[in-house]
Amino acid sequence: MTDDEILREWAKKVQLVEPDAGSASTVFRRVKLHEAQVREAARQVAFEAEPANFRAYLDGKAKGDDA
Amino acid sequence: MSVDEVAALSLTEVAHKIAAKELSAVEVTEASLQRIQLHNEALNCIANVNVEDALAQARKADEKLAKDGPVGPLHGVPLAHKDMYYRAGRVSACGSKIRADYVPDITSTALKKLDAAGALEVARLQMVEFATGPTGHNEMAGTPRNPWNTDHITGGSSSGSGSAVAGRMVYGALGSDTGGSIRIPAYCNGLVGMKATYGRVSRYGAMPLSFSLDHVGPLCRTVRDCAVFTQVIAGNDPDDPTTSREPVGDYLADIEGGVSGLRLGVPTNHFFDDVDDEVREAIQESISIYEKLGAEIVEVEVPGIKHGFALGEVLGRVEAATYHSTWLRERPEDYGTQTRNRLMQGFYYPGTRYIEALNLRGQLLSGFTDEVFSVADILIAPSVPMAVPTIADTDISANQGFLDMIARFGSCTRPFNFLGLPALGVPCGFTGNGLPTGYQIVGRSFDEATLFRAARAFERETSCTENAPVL
Repeated sequence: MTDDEILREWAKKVQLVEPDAGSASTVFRRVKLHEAQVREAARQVAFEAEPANFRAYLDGKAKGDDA
Repeated sequence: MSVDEVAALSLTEVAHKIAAKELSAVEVTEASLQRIQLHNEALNCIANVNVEDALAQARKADEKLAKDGPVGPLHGVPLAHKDMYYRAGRVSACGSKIRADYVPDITSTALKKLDAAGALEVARLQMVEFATGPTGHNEMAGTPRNPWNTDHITGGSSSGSGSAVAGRMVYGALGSDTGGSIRIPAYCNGLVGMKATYGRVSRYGAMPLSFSLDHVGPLCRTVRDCAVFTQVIAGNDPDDPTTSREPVGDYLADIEGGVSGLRLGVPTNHFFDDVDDEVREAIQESISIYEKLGAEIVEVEVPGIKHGFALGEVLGRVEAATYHSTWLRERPEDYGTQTRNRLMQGFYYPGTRYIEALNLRGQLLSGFTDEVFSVADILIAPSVPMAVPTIADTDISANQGFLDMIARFGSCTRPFNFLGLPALGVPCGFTGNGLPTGYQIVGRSFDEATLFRAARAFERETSCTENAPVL
């Protein structure tokens, strides 16, 4: 099976959805592109990092804190 | 004054004339309704208008004014909003077939604040289906048209807001911005649009698309209008726990203060990599004007933008797919094809990538703020990297690569939704096809006031907001 076929089968079983036949390759291509870029960026994330309170970052930056 | 003369006034001008009793709210509302009646067939930007209700609101405003004076800075001013702001007991269709009959039982905080400021709401405005696309196309509810040239797109997803405000039907409108949906229609229609800092304006009672990226904000004709409108809707809201307790500044106090000494950052990477020449030239001319006005121009390399774009995509897609998961499974045929394909992507990202994207957000913001705002006070960048295209050229059926085109369309706006920083869309002239062009300026978190001050200096020098489309 190709990667796209694996993705399609997985989503069909687990998510109960499948993209239109005509658009599937576009959908999968974009997902794989973004996923690869996140994976590359995420090499900087600390192993034990917890989900950030993003608004607290903004508040901190507004006050000049090193949030 | 004639209908067109009344309609041509800015929001702040008409509010002043109503407060001074030089015009009544009824006269102004009648002018708005006449413009809608005359031009909506060409622009298709109105989802619904209730003439009797609009006039009843106006009469009530005039009575209140006579008895107690103006209740707020928007007393008696006719507005209309993107059809995703809930008002209890009234349909909010969200540009969709799925919610065509949806009647919420709550009223959004943004509408409550506008009501408290005395504004009238005369219509519901068309939008991209569930706010999912940047061009304005809507195969379910119809595609609004650009008042500067009705063959061209309005931009989206606040498509009706852009068209109705530029078409002088109303004096301002709420849009929403998850990846550029205020700034892109502002660009396409020659308007001023504010996406304030994440947490500055409550999202309570606004249709959610992506809770990490959604921002509520206005599209207006002038910088001062936009500042007043933003001032009214900004602030902490107990009903929206993501709103900040950071005090709201006075956006008008120093709006005429000019840009002398202000450091204007010009990005040396990403933002100008793939920009049409005529758009680039218009922005370069704008930078020269800022310099002439006393701003210091500094080149700056902006970190993390490529990653920020991809991370934002993952957050947006996953959150949107989650909201829509039941309908996507049970009623996929009730979505437009473009909308369904975009929402569908969110099912395919692993949960680990989503959490990583969330975790990286603060880190990238810190890097961006430290690098950029240590050398500049505001940053200038394109809003849209191309001249406003036609509706036909950007239709999914006419363009097989439309997803790539959409990605390019939002490539300059989306990073600032991920970073949560305030960004103001400003018009700066026209491209060769006669359609508006513009740029965005981006500031430190919660520093919307500096953006308004800078844009106002530019507006005062160039009269960039005085042009109006001829309908």
